[in-house]
Amino acid sequence: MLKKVFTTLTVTVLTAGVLAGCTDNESASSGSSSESKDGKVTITTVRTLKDDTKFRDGEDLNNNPITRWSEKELGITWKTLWTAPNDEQYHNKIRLSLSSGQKLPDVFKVSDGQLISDLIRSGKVMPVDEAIEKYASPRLKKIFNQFPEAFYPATVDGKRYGIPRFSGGNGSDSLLWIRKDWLDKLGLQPPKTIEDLEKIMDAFVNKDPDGNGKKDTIGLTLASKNGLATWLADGSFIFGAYGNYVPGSWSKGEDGSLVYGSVQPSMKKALEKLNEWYKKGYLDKEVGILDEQTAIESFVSGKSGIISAPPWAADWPITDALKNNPGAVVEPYPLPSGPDGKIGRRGEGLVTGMFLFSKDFKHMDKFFEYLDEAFAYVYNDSKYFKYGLAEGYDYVMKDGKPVYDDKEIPNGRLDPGAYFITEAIPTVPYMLYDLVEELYTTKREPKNAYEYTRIVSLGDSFMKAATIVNQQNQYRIENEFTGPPTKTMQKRFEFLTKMERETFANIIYGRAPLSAFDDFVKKWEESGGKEITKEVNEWYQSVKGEK
Amino acid sequence: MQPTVDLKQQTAAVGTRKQWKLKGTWQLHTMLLPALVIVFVFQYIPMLGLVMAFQDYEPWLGFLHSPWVGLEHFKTMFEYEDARQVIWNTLVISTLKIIFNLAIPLAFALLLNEIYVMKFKRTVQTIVYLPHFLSWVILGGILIDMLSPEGGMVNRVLTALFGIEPIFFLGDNDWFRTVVVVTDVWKECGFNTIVFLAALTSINPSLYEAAIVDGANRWQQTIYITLPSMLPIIIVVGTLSLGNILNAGFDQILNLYNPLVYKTGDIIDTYVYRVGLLNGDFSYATAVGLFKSIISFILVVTGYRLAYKYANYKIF
Repeated sequence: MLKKVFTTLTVTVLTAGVLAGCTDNESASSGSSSESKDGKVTITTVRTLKDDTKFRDGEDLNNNPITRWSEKELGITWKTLWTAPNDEQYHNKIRLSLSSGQKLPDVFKVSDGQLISDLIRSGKVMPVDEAIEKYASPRLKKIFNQFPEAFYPATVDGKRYGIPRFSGGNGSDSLLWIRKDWLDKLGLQPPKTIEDLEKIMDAFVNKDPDGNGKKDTIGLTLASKNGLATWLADGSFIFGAYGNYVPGSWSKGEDGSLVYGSVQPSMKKALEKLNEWYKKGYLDKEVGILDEQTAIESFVSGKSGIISAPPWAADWPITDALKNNPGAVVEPYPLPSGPDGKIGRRGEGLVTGMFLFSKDFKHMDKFFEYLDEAFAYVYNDSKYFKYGLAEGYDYVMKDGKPVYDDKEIPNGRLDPGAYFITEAIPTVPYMLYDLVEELYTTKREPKNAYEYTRIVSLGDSFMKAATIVNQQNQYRIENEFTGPPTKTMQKRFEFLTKMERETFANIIYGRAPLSAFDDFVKKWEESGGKEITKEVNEWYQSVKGEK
Repeated sequence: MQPTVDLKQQTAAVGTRKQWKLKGTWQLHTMLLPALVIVFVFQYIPMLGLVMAFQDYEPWLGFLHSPWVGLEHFKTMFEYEDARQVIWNTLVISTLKIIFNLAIPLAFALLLNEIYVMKFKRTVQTIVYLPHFLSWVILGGILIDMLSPEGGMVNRVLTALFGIEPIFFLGDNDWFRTVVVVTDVWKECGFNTIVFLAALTSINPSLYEAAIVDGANRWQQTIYITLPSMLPIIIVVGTLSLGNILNAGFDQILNLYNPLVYKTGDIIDTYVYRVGLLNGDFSYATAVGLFKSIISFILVVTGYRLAYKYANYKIF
């Protein structure tokens, strides 16, 4: 009898458990903006929350110095409905709520072009032209007017549907990092031209710069598995030295329309060079299979003398290289010029996502007020954030003076900037490196926690590199196609990219003659490339036209 | 007249017996219920999403309102040479994998079975089984290092022993498939070895005793007793792996392939990954996936039938 009761009980518990798992907790998560009588509003949002975003004990996204400030000073209560640890999961969740017809949060950021387009076409997000006109502060309007192309990812039929979350502009643009100790040992000068660079690489390969008596060093660290123009171990400067295009980017051709970099004739010269360099042993033998993370190993282990990387590489991977190779000195240098004096580099995009707004959202004025106050801080013009965002987080007061050093702040420094809905202290393209250049050249003291943590604390090497990158801004070659994949792109671009990578790799390895490039261009055009170029330009015309 | 009554009685008897059975075992059946619910909810309901393959899917319209395009995506699949090539690559790689993943563990199990030092046998078995637990992400990195033409372990050994020039295993179209198959067999053979070893222990020892009496040597024992007795399990393993003929190993390829070996190494899954996830063409990706499932289904059913017909063995 007892046994029977037990069995029945087990069954009931098991079944109930499963069924309970299926019930919908929908009611709890749906929220929307509301306004109470005293002008205070609640705005709902969702966001990615990376693992490295830290909080003080007991605090979270809905309760931290930034939300408390926003609630007290601006009357905005932020309600973060859910978070996801990375962009992929975040976008999937939004995609799911879109296709299941759930209510969208008031404000949310999307960085996937296709998803932005889907959301706009679904009619669930609203155009913002009127709101910008009515509510944006002069400061914001000035920024927006300065970068009209930042709105292109969310522009449809001449209407703007999103507010850009700006990138640093040139924050991840590359320059050369060279082993200064090797240069000195071999009595070489830093390179001004590609020709100089070749001499240096030759010496690095043949003159045993690491002094171990073996010919085991290479000249240049490159990543090519994901394309030769990339964010680390970047090869775009080689292409930029021979023409106005870099692989993988849609940039302006001679007639002002957008053309695809990888099929431009100037690629050929750069590929020829790369093939020559490969044959001479300047490049990693395995360059064709290396992605960004695996490519840097040669530089980190002290087998390579040159890497093209952004200023932030000063922290990683350069410090690793210094640690592994006692006596190593790595210095940043400007990109070298090609035979016709040309210089060019892959330029990072201007935006890292667009803020979209639910069509039911009523408080655009409040959103702009919040955004403006956040920007005020980086412009050193805030009435709320004088020395930093929050005392005890990114600074402490000692004897009436702000102190930014990690060690002085109880329990370590935290960056409350990550709690803004911009997920970091907001920025305007080029502003950070302009500021770095100013600080580096004038050697003045940092005025607030932002200048200290974002610039000064990162060290001299970073500041020098950022200054160099900033001084080479005119050589940026940006990808100007920022819309959703076009119709033919969806169908054929995968094939075209595959063909491109294959052709480039084969030419570099000498497995195909240089003329394979011409065949590739011809096939590229025939297999949808022409159609895609047409569609890309149709898009470009449509977003460039009337705002 | 008489037979009909008999039949009726029989049916009735069976009926009551069934009822009686259910009466005594309903708890067990109810306990099965959660599992069935889970399978239904998570395996069968999502299958409805397959209609995407016949639509031009737009997320905000959902698959209830997206426009229908019939078999267009399937046509696309065979129209383009790149798709045909990945199908061919997939077939070659997975066929090789299936063959070697049967033959090598079988041979290995037979050899291991001849060892009488239990400790040694167990140790070898465990060591061989270990790689099965490593993920391809980790192995990918290790293999790239080991197979490197610049001081990679494998190339160093080859140069030292045979004096050959270093081979760029992962960047050479002549070598890539071999590397893929060999590393997969190395990683997975432990698992099948254990299955075969288990089957070996279940062979009735009296068969061997009889054979020894008849004067059979070890080799003859293997040919005439061990292998025939193991045929059913070989068929099971073989049939089950037939279902995977279009899965040439997504994780593995994704971590090992590169533009240099697209020609021989790109498979359906990596292709779908790039088209569907990176290019956002969900419908097309689903169509390719569906095509894959249908082929696998046909092969499993065929394998099942053949196993029944020729080996008189029912798997399910």
